[in-house]
Amino acid sequence: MTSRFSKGLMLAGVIAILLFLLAPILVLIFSAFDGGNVFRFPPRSYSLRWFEEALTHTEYRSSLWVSTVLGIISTAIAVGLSSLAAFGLVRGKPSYRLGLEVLLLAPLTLPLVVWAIALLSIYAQLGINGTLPGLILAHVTITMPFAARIMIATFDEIDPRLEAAAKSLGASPWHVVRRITLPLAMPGLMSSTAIAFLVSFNDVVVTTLIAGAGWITFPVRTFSRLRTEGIDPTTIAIAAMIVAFTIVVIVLGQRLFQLSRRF
Amino acid sequence: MTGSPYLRIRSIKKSYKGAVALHDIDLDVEQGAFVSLLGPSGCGKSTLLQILAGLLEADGGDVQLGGEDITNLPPWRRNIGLVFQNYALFPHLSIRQNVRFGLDMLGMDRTEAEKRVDESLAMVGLDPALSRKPGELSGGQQQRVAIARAIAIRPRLLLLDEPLSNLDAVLRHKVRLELRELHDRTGITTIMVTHDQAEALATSDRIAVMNGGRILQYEAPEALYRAPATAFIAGFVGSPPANLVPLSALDNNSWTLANGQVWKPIASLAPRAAGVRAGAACIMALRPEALAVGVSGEGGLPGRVVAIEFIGGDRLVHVETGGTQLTVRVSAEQAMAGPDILLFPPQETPLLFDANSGKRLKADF
Ligand SMILES: Nc1ncnc2c1ncn2[C@@H]1O[C@H](COP(=O)(O)OP(=O)(O)OP(=O)(O)O)[C@@H](O)[C@H]1O
Ligand SMILES: [Mg+2]
Repeated sequence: MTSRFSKGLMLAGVIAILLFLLAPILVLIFSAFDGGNVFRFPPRSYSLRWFEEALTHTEYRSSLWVSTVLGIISTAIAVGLSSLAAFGLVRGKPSYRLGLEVLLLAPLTLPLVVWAIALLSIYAQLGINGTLPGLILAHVTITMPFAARIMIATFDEIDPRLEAAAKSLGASPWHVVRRITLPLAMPGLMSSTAIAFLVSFNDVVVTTLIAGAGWITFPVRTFSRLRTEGIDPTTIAIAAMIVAFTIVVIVLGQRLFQLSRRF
Repeated sequence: MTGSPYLRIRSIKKSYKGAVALHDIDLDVEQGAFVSLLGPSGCGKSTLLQILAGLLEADGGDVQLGGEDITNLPPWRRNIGLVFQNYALFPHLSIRQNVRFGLDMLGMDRTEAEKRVDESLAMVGLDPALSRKPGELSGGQQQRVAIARAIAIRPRLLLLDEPLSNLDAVLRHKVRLELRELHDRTGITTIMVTHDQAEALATSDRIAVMNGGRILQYEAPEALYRAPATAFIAGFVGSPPANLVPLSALDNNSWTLANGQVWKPIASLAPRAAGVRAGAACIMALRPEALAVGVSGEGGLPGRVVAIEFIGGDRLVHVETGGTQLTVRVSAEQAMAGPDILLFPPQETPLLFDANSGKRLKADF
């Protein structure tokens, strides 16, 4: 009896937490289907006009494109570099490991605005302000700490004796990486990629300062429109599509992951 | 012995940041032999094994295997099987994939590899149809998989680093016999690291006793037991190991014990017989199972019983004698008279060691 009661209580708690976390997303999705001219909740008439608007709106489309390309390139660079750095730090065990780890986390310790101002003045000297390479470099800088943190933890968890065992079974260093280290690091690589991409995709502060008017990312555009015109229902529709896309990716990933585990 | 041995280790040295782990190790292993490296924790056993496997670079010296100098060969070209203490099974691969790993690296074709996997699993007593991941197996099964994986590649040398230490006492006893059987069937030259002397005595053709980064003695089990080269070995080998009694020569016929008590043994155990001069500090090793207990007689070592342990079949009697506590092993039926008894060491030449160097003192008759 008591256990049944406490189970019920626990279930209620879980539902409450889920509601708390998911409510904003639900609000967003419902509002996206609203037919009105301004953001309302709950929606009063249903229509797909904001989706149409979003898909035809060239400014948003180009911003989404900029965000995606920027996110992919800087994530690839950040995850690649931090994987190499993390592997070196964990396997090489240099005496300066702790120092370097702290340094890799440094960007997290300052408010982003301060960090952005510092980058701005350095990039001005280098003449890469407002250019794509400058923007990519800035995004690599702000995503690295997250990617590196995850990769260091990932490699720390992989027993070096597994690599040694593989070597003794005739695996060259390349085979050890491909058959042992990489597969074991895959979950870590996935999460570090996801986190790095999200950090890059979400950033407003650093991008606003570094990119200037040349490269306007989706959150920067949304934010600036919000300040000039209030909430634009087009943004809501785009956000709803991003949520839908994310869910599809997660479901597919889960399917494939389980399939890959079965073989 | 003519010709060079199958495995020939010469002057292998290794230090970790100034701390010496191995001093000049020399070791020869005959083809097909089962050799144990026996020693307490931290004496350098694993370090030596890693060097043989090529996973660790020695600071000096060389290793030859089958006449080939392998000192600078990378581990993946050595064809030496290695079983780690924690087994180090690949967690993302199935049991069969684990065993097949080395065969894939050799580029063996699929059907032949699968056949070899079946053979190897059967050889360690595992069901070849086992389709699980390593994490789902018991410690004993994981250990078998690790051995199957190492022997699947038909290694030139099989290295086992404390292969039994993660098993419970009953399983350990069973598996050590199986290890020896497996060795006899495959004929693979095997080196096993252990700090359990009973394990080494039970399985090995020869035992290299190590301490402080040195090999103290390299002998067949019986020789090691009968004629330990140092007091350390005498105090390490045997169940329970020999009692080490510190004493110094009073004159040609008597010893002074630790608490100043004088003991006049029978002639064959006297300082004169061992060629020890008066005043010399020595250690006499007395095997618990070789001491006879009595109440009267010539040359007995007087002692007082402080505790008795029943160990099934036998009893261990702890005796306080001359300032040292000794263990005596007697059969459970033997009656124990009073707390005050006499201990009679065997009549043969004593196991006598120099107290400073720990080296065996040989009587020069
Ligand atoms: N990576 C290392 N860095 C520094 N010192 C080390 C390292 N590995 C081993 N040592 C030291 O070298 C010595 C020998 O170590 P080794 O692991 O070979 O001992 P062992 O005989 O295998 O001991 P155990 O029975 O505990 O496994 C020890 O004193 C140890 O502290
Ligand atoms: Mg060890």
